[in-house]
Amino acid sequence: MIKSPLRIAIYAFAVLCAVVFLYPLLFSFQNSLKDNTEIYGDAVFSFPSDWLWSNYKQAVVDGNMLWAIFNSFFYAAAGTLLALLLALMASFVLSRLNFKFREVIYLYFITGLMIPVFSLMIPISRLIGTVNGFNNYFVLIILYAVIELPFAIFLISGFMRGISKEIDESAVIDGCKPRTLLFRILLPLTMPAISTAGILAFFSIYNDLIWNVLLITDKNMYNISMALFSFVGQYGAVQMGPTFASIMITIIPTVVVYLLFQEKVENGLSAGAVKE
Amino acid sequence: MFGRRVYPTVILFLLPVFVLYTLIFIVPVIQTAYMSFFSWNGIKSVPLEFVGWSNYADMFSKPEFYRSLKNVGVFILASFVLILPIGFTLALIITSKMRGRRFFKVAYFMPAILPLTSVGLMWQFLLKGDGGFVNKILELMGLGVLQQDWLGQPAIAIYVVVVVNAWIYVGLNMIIFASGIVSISDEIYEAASLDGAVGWRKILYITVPLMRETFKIFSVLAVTQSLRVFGQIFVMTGGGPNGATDVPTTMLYNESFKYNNFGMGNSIGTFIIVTGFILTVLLNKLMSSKESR
Repeated sequence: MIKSPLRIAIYAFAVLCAVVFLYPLLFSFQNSLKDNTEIYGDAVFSFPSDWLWSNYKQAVVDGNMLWAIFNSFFYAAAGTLLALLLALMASFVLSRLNFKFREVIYLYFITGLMIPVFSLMIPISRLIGTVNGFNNYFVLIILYAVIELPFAIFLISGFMRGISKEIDESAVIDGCKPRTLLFRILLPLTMPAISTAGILAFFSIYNDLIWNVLLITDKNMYNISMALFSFVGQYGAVQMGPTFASIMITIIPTVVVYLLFQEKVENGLSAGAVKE
Repeated sequence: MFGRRVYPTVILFLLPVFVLYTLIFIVPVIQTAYMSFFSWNGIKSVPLEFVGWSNYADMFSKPEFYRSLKNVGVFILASFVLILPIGFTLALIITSKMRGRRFFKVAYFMPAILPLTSVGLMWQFLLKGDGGFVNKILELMGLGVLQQDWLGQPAIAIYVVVVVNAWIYVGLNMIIFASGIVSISDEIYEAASLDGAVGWRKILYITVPLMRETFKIFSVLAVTQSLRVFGQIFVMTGGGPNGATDVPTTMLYNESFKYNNFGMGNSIGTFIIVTGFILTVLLNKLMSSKESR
């Protein structure tokens, strides 16, 4: 390989960018093990002289961070499963069956992609208020699932349309019921779209902020965003170590999941960005 | 398929989805529009009071509202001057045959997958006036005079937020650009090499023109997603200092849930929905008509 100056310059740029993207995270990790004196001190780049794991203990005990992570996982897992089930049923009807107004109903669902959910926070919290749905796992999970619906339907029905219709015909001739056709035959074939939609829904629910802010006041139901907010609000700049520790705790599970499922996460999230 | 017997299946499979979707997406849209003509303080027992267009009149006479639109403009601008060039360059790097490209891909993409609240709060502390990471780095570089409370200065706060936003989302856009780059077949590059194209010429004359579709998608997203920005601002500044970093969505939140002015909140909500709708349709039309030429 020829080591031209240009090549070296590009490589230097690549390394520089990696530092810009990763160093703030490393820095936060270092700070999460320091006390205030060291954080405000001059040794910016060094690891602490004494690794204060007690900062993490404080975040876990006082901030209830592990429970918040569990909550976030629970919301995300349940919400994603429900969203996928509903989207799968709708997609089956909208892409495999022939009936009146099919196209209109499809468009009706896809319109949801153009509606920014943040603009709906007033009516939705009012709606939840009228059914006394504040601090309710069940209500929150349904809300999360439905918010993910339009895109999941868009992805899954688009993929299902590409599967040969002959499969349905031969299945029906063999006496297959719609339910069996969908869950036994089409579901495995649609797996690529389902997993993309699932990853996207999972991340978006896991990281949710606004619905937890608006609909949850019970500390035991806080997700990571709310737990972080309340913990940081309490300690903030006064005790930087625990603050950074709580931030790191919420970051680590996501990093692990990402490193385990790299390709899938990358493809899922970039497909999600191209929503409209 | 299934002939007439199709309808029971349609109803059974579609009805629950239809009802939930209508209840949570469509009815609230109508309610937002309807309630934007009423004044309401958010208390359940207090009735709505019809006020006609006055919420809109208030909204359009507020300088804060125009500032929030300007801030959306800053986000759109940053998409093109920061995220586009950097994201595209990084996409070229991770699709090249450079050693360590897998590591680079993970490194660049990492911020995009982390919880927005976590990275937002992290940056809030890194940008702190006293003892913040950024200020310390500046001091070490001998640029101590530049030290300041980055998110606390109304004049620059929005630009700081926009840079952090780019730090978060460049990786995501890099992946989008990269999938555009790898879809260009090697044969085209080989043919170009035979014609004497090398290095950056290949990028300029082959990669960029052939990625027109990807750039179009990026442009539509840059505009429509900028209108939806919420979490980044909410976490880092809450719209402050003194409303300097407000965008329409955070203004909606603050007007309603902070100042109990739900009428104005709904008129802002209606504005976001209508503008978003018009922009999406318009941009898609614009992009597709250029294509047919």
